[in-house]
Amino acid sequence: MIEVTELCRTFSKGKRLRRTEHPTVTALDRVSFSVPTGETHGILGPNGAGKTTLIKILSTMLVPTSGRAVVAGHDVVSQTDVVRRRIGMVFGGDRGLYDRISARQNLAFWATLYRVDPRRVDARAAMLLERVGLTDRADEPVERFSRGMRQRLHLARGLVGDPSVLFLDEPTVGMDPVAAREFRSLVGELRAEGRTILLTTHDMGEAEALCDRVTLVDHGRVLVTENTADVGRTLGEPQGIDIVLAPHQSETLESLSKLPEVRSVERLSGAHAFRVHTEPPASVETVMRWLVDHGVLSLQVRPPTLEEVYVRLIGKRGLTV
Amino acid sequence: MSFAELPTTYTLRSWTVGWVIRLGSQALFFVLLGRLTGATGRLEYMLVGNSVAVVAMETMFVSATAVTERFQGTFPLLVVSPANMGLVYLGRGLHWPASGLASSFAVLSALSLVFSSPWHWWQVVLALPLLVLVAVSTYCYACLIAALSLRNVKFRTLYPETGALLLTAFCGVNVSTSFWPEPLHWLAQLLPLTHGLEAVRHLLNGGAASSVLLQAGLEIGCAALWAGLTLLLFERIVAAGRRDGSLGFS
Repeated sequence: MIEVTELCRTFSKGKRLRRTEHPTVTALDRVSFSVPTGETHGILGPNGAGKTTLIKILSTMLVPTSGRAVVAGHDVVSQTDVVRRRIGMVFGGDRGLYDRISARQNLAFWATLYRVDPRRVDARAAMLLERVGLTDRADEPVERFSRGMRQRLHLARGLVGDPSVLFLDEPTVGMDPVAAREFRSLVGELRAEGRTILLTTHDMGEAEALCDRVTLVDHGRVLVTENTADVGRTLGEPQGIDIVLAPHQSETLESLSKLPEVRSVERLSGAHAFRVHTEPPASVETVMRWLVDHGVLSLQVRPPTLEEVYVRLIGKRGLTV
Repeated sequence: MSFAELPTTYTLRSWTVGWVIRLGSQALFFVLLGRLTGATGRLEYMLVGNSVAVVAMETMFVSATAVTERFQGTFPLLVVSPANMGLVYLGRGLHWPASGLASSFAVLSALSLVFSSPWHWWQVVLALPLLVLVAVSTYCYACLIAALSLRNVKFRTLYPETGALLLTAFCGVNVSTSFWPEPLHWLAQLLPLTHGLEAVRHLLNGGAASSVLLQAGLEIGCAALWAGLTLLLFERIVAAGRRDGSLGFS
């Protein structure tokens, strides 16, 4: 459904002057990956990694410097019009809506632009408003909406043309946790419908909850593309141990925390359940031996989480939003 | 969409008590200047010119509407929609020529009454279709200005002000187009408003129907010219924006 091959995009720095060489910035550097039909695919990376540039190219807003991108079976450069009829675009933040008119009027306008049959425009707007839970506020000016409501309307706007491919560019940025959760639930429904979704996000929890596969990018390059559940394997080493202590083993916990190989011990939700973070990660074996020697029999080596993979591959700067 | 936004700009009260009176005062200022000159027919000339020019001034607001799309982040979404950008913009601000038409007709009617103009009331009513024509042609021109403002947002005030100045200065609003040097006189023939205004003058002064129709036809030609240029410019602006990356999401 989405095929990206050796995609490059550079930008000139400063104004274009005649007969002068300009320094350029490489936003995308030979990026290749594919997203099959019905997959929800996450693009993860720090600010400036090239995520938005990639989405811009795939949504036909930007032309690549070289390489090829195919969306819904059509080239984004030579078959722009066909691609535009098959995609929906949703981005985060407060912008992208007509604030002074109502949610219903917003959707009716976009439905007209997406060539929805004029006799069906009102019904389509009503259906989408119902879907995103805005029916009760449909005729209020959008400027009165909360951040979460605006984002739900944004999603409805993105669905107005019934797209087979949906681009979500950091859609939950700036939302409170409850609103973000509601929004993710809506995206989950779209995923269940079999739409192809390309999601860029900084939120690892969001990526883990929504994405079938993820691609990590940094400095315009793809670092890894992997199933979300298996992405931890890319590091090739465990990051810690989950243990359950018996009630009488509180002294063991104290001693464990003082081991030089143990970075921290985190209490988990279950009674007497703990997560042991080791440092360096390879010292898991040493700590496991210590735990067995001290009578801890319920233990499980834990593969790295997506966030740990992200931090290891991209570095701490990647968590700065 | 366009007309849905109109009530957020004006209420009936603010339009009548505020806006039309403000435009009427501007036209009145120039009409009084015309009277001060003491020249025969100068008052009527400036009354018609400034009343009809009102519609051109108001259509220029489409430029501000266009630039707002940039600031509220809807412009890139319009670009990636299947619609033709130029056509979208030609439809997007249609409330401005409609409102400009009403303002212009109100000012023309009121000033004609106040200054006991020599034409009949029914001639003013007959001028309405010509005002519609001027509204359409100046709107097409204003959409081109809007496209320029979209491309260079930092000049968003300069472009419409210059565009409006060209119309009021050279299109026969206060002085005849023949007053200007030859090149400017010819430029005025290509600008909207010139022929439409001339047609209104012919009609109100009891000119031959053929001369009214000729000027109306020329105004239609100008409208087509500026509509074509607007569509072309929007296409080029979007293409350039896709190349240089100036079409941001936010």
